[in-house]
This record gives sequence, structure tokens and C-alpha cells, in this order.
Amino acid sequence: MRIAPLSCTLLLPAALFAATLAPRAAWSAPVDDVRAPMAMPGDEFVAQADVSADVDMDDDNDPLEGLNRGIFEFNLVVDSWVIKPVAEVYRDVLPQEAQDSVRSFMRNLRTPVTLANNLLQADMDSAGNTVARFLVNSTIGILGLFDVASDLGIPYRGEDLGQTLAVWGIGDGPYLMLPILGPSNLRDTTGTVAEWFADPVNLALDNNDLEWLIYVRAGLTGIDARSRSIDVLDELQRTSLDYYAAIRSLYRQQRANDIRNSRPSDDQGRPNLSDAETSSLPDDIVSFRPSR
Amino acid sequence: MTFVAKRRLFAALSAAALLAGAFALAPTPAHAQDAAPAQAAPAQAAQSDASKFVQELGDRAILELTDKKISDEERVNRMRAMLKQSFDEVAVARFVLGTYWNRATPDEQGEFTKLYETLVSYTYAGLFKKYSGETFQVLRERTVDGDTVVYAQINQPAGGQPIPIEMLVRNGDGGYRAVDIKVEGISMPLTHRKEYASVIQRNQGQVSGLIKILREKAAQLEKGGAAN
Repeated sequence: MRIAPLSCTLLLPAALFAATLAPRAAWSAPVDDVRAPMAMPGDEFVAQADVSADVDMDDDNDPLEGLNRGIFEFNLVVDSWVIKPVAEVYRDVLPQEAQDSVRSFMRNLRTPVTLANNLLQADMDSAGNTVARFLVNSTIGILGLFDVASDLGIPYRGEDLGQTLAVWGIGDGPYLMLPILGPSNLRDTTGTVAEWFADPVNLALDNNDLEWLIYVRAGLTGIDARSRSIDVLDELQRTSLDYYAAIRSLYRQQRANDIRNSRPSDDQGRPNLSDAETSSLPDDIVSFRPSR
Repeated sequence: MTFVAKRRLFAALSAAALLAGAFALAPTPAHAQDAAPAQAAPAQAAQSDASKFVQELGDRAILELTDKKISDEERVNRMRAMLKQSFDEVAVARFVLGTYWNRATPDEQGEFTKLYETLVSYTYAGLFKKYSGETFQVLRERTVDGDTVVYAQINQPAGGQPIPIEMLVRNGDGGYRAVDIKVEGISMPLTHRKEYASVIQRNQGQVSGLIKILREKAAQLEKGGAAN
């Protein structure tokens, strides 16, 4: 951890450099395309559907598929023996309010990182949202344990460095299945690594010989997240023919959705966001339109 | 360990203790329950036919599929009936097979459409089984080249963030039919399209390979009941 800042400063530029060097075609659509009309992944397909079957293959941008599938198998084993059982205990033993407080507390701790990303994206509206949430939840919400801000109409909006890089126009790069951490891509992995080392809370813990708390924090965040997806992932695994490919597609769609910040849940009762309907995000919603 | 470090450790531990203690003391946060009804009001004003169709479909799904008293088999049958009645199944199947649709024989197209219906019935039946007390609410709509995207949300009974839904509906001969549904920005047909393309590629590009695996999966689901 002592060399952390060093590795961070080395890794990020290296990855960014790689991103600029890599042939554009090998990277999937930059975010500008996602915002453009009819440029959702599905639409590409409608346009190209009758051209060649290879389109589907290219679009997955998964040059390391063999390795990724191997790691995925490993992850499934670790998940079924360790992570999921722990997540189930967490879900079944802790009261719902406690689980919500864990998530709320962890989100509040992430404030510096979220705010930095809001600012790096020049998203002042979200930056204000982040600050307001922090002030409300850290005080009335008792150190972030209660998400009072959401109830006051200031819902959580997650941001991370991967999304910021995407907003800057960097494509997601090859799909990567990370051991334990799960689905990612080169861009998001870069973001995750950089955030791990740059997070002020982690740095403060590290500087005070409390490095173990960094892992507790990461572990709790992960278990909380896993516990919330048990049912959905069980269902997906039960009904899927190729679980790996299903997860790969879901990850892509989820990240595209995160990057667009276009969740309808975010604009409830927020008139300033209702323009998502009318202007700048024309076809953000229609994933595809089956031919008539 | 320095004094400062100790003090910070103490602070961290007290936070943890507080974390633990707060749950014991805290009543169900009242504000959490206030939030949902406050949002629930505005929608039901003047609705277009497309919105009305989606509202009815959502209400029906929640009413019929979350019923705790029915068997898993009955839940799947109800879901299947809704698919037949309210979805343009051929359009969805065509989209899911994508470029492979035209390579498939008419028999394969027909069998795929049927098997896909079975798979989707089990999938949604399994998901809705976990629901209890949710409500479905149409928010607004937008027209795209003759089709309508209807934005809706599922309100959770315990408060919390509503789940955003987007449904793409098309007005055809038999009235409105749904052709896509997105939950939290994720389209199930799109996910299946990618997944099945992968299956076909791993079976020498043969649609028959996919159909064989789908048959096995359908048989397995039918044997195993609607949910684990």
C-alpha cells in the first residue's frame, strides 16, 4: 500500500495511453455514440442484422474470451462456496434497515470520490446533489447511516472513474472478467484501480495503520451488493443457456445506463431533469426496434 | 500506533458500534414510507391508449403473478397467457435471433418462437414470485417512429427507489402489443439476443444447435417447476 500512489500514477496514464493507441474499431462505441440517436447496441444490430453473423461476434469485444470464461468459472466456484453463502446470511440475518444503513454508510464514505467524478465530468447539478446528500446524511442521517436525503427527494447518483473516462470519450475497451470482482472492461478496471488508491478515505486509513479497514470496507460493500442481487442472478442462471454471455451483455447494458445517468428513477419530481424526455438524450431508451 | 491513530481507530470503532446500535433503536424510518405515496399521485391523469395498455398490463402482471396462493405451474401458465395476448411474440423472437432468423428454416423459426415463449414465461414467473405488495405506475410516454415508449415504474412497498420500467409498444391489427421491455435500463430481449448469438457461435453457427439446447432447458424448467 505504501507504493500505492506510485502504482496509481503509473497505471492510469499507461491505460489511457493504451486506449489512444488501440485501433478504434477494436473498441466499442464511445459514449458520444451512446447519446446519439439510434446508436444503442441493439440498434446497430437492427441496422446490420442482415449483413453478417460476424457482427455479433465483433460487438462483444471480448478478445480474451477463453481466459475470461476460465476466470468466470473460478468466480462461480468462489461465489457458490463463499461469497453467496455469506451474502445470504447477511440478507437473512440483518434486518432490512441495517442492510440499508450499511449501503448508505458506504455510499456516504464514497462522497469525495463521487464528488471528484461529478466535477471531472463538469456535472455541476450532480455535484450539488452529492454535496447536499453528504451534508444531510452526515448530520440528520447520523454519519451517513440513514439516507434521509433520498427521502427528501435527493436520490443517490453513483459515479465512478470508469464513467468519467467514458464521458471523456474513452471507449470501454476489451471486456475483462476480473477474479472475485467480476465483470469489467479495460476502462472500468483502470477506474477501479485508480479509485482504490486515490480514495481519500482509503489513504487516511492507510496512513494511520488501519489498512485492514480498507478491506473491511471493500468486503462489506461487496457483500451488500451481492446480497441485493441474489434472487435476480439465481433466476438468470437458472434460465440462461450461456450464463457467461448473459452476464457480459448485462454488464454492458448496465454500464451504458449508468454512464447516461438516464435512469427514470432519477428524475422523479425533478423538473430540471425532465428534459431527458425532450431534448439532449433523444433515443436513450429504445434499445432496439424490431422490424415490423 | 500513534495517539492520533488510536483516536481514529476509536472513532471508527464507535462508528461501528453506533452502526450496530442504531439498528436496534431505530424504528422503521417513517420518512421511507412517506416517499412512495407522495410520488404515486400524479400519473393517473389523462392517459393515451398506449399508456392505458401498459398500465393494464402492469396491473394484471402484479395482480395475477404475485398471488401467493397459486402453484408455480399456474404462475407460469398465467405468464404465458399474458405473453400470447399482450406481446408481439414473433417480432420479439425475430429480434432475439437477429441475423440467424433468416438462416433458420420456417420450422426452426416456429419452434424457436415457442421455446422462447416457454423460457420467458418461466423467467418472469420466477421473478414475479418474489414480489409482494408492489404497485405499477405509468409515468409518461414518447412516440418513436410510430411506436410508443411508455415509461413506468414499480413502486416498492417498503419505500426505497422505484424500479424504472420502459416498455416499447406497437399498435397493430389486434390492438397494442409490447415488443420490448427494459427494467432499470436493461432489455431482456437484447440480453437474450447476445446470449443466444454466443450459443449459436459455439455450436458451429447452427441455429439447430441453439434449438437443441433450448429444448433441453425448457424440459429442465418444466420438470423443476417455476422456481427453485
